[in-house]
Amino acid sequence: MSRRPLIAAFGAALIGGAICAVGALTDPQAVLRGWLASFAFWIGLPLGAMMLLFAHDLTGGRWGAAAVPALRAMVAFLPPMLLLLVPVLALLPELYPWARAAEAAHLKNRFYLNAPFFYGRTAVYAMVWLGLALAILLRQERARNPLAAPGLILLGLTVTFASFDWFMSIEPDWGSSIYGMMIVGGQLLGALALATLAAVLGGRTDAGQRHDLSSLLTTAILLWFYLSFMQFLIVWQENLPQEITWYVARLSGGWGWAAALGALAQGALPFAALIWWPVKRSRGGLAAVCLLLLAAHLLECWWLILPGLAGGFTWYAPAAALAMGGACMTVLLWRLSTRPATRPVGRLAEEVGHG
Amino acid sequence: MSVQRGTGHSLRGRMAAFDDPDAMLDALRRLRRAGFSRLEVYSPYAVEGVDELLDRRPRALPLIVVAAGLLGAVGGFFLQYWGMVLSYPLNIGGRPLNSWPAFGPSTFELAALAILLAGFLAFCKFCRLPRLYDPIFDAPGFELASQDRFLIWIAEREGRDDGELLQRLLPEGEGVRIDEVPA
Repeated sequence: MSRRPLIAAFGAALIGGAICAVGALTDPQAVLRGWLASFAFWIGLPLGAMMLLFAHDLTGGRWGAAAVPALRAMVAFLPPMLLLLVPVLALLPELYPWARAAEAAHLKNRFYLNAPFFYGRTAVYAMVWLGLALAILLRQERARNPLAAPGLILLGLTVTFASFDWFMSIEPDWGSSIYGMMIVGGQLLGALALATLAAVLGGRTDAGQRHDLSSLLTTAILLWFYLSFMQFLIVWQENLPQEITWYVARLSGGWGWAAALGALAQGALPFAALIWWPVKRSRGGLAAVCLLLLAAHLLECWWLILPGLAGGFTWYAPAAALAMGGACMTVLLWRLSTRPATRPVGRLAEEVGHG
Repeated sequence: MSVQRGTGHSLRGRMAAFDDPDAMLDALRRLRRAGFSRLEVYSPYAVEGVDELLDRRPRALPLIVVAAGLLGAVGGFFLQYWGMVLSYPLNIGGRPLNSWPAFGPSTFELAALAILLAGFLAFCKFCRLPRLYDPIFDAPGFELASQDRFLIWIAEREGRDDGELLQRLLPEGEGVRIDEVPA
């Protein structure tokens, strides 16, 4: 295997990281808010991949033969992504109002939102996820994972609370109980889109598998859209001052366009494309839809985080996305080059298909 | 004997019965290659690939369903818009009269209703469903098509005796049985 992709990925990580490091000298808050916004995208891929792998362990299905290798590779993103959260953890007061003594004084939920408890919860999430990731990666692909059902329950709980802690608490006055599942919906969609893209570009899919993956993508789009729209509808109908402000910040100015673009590019457009079967079964069409979904999901993550923090959009967000993407791809390529697939792909596909 | 468009079973023909769907698909492929075009398949469940072999891609049904969905969505939204904005404007909680987020769920429900009704009726039409009798029902063993046999009906071609050709294409035995179907 050529070393060139590995060097390119490592270079991207270095360039993105260097931009953020230089920026941190002048404006650490801007770098950190861009960092957290892009972190929301990249941490979703390994988490969504773990949920999809457990779901496939429970249900089976021919789509697994195509998507499981890519999903397993994405689980390896988890350790570097957890390491990349350290800058945020080290500088909590830069991002989280509840970590600043003066602003936290009026908060009623300080029993939950305080630095020691926050660190403790984050440590629990990290340990649970790393344990589940090891349980996935250390097992043979063809064997069903006995941890699948408890793993899904654990992931549902921990990812919900992690999204409350890391992302929702940037606005500690605001709360939404559907928020966690909405984040999970986006993570499932992102992970499935990347796995489908890898499977299609890797040339491992037949028409039937592409059909199934497209149908699953359609379901993921519907789930994400339903959860996002329900939160919006309920908050909009209630029209309460402490709730609607979340949407006022996210629907005014340029962010309103970002919201409309996100609803189109992560909802209506790919849905319309995927219910049309020539797109559904074709390699090129499916790959294009997956790219669109991933780009729209990155935009959604920025839209969720950045308007909630002072300063709004920052160019450090794309730089951080580049750095994290480079780091994840470096780990992935390094893992592929040090542990080459010994079993032929055809046999693997057959085994997973029967699994 | 009159020939009814769509069914064709007032034609004379032959009926081949198969024990499993793959053998039926193989035979169907051989028949198509030999130039038989008036064919019909009867099976206990939908067999993938039959529609393609019979040149029956379902082109109309998806279009009807999409059109019904669009019509239902536009009509559903307009129903609420007309009620809330044009006919009886009512200020509820200071929200704008055109409360499009609140119209969303009902718009979706009416689109789904239109899709289901139109899709179901169109599906029945394409299956010729109101027609409860067809001469093919009199063919011996036809009732097995709703149990465990896969049947191909082959129309007799005018002015040709295909008996020998069919004997070659569909060798009897090994789960294949051929019957004459009277007009």
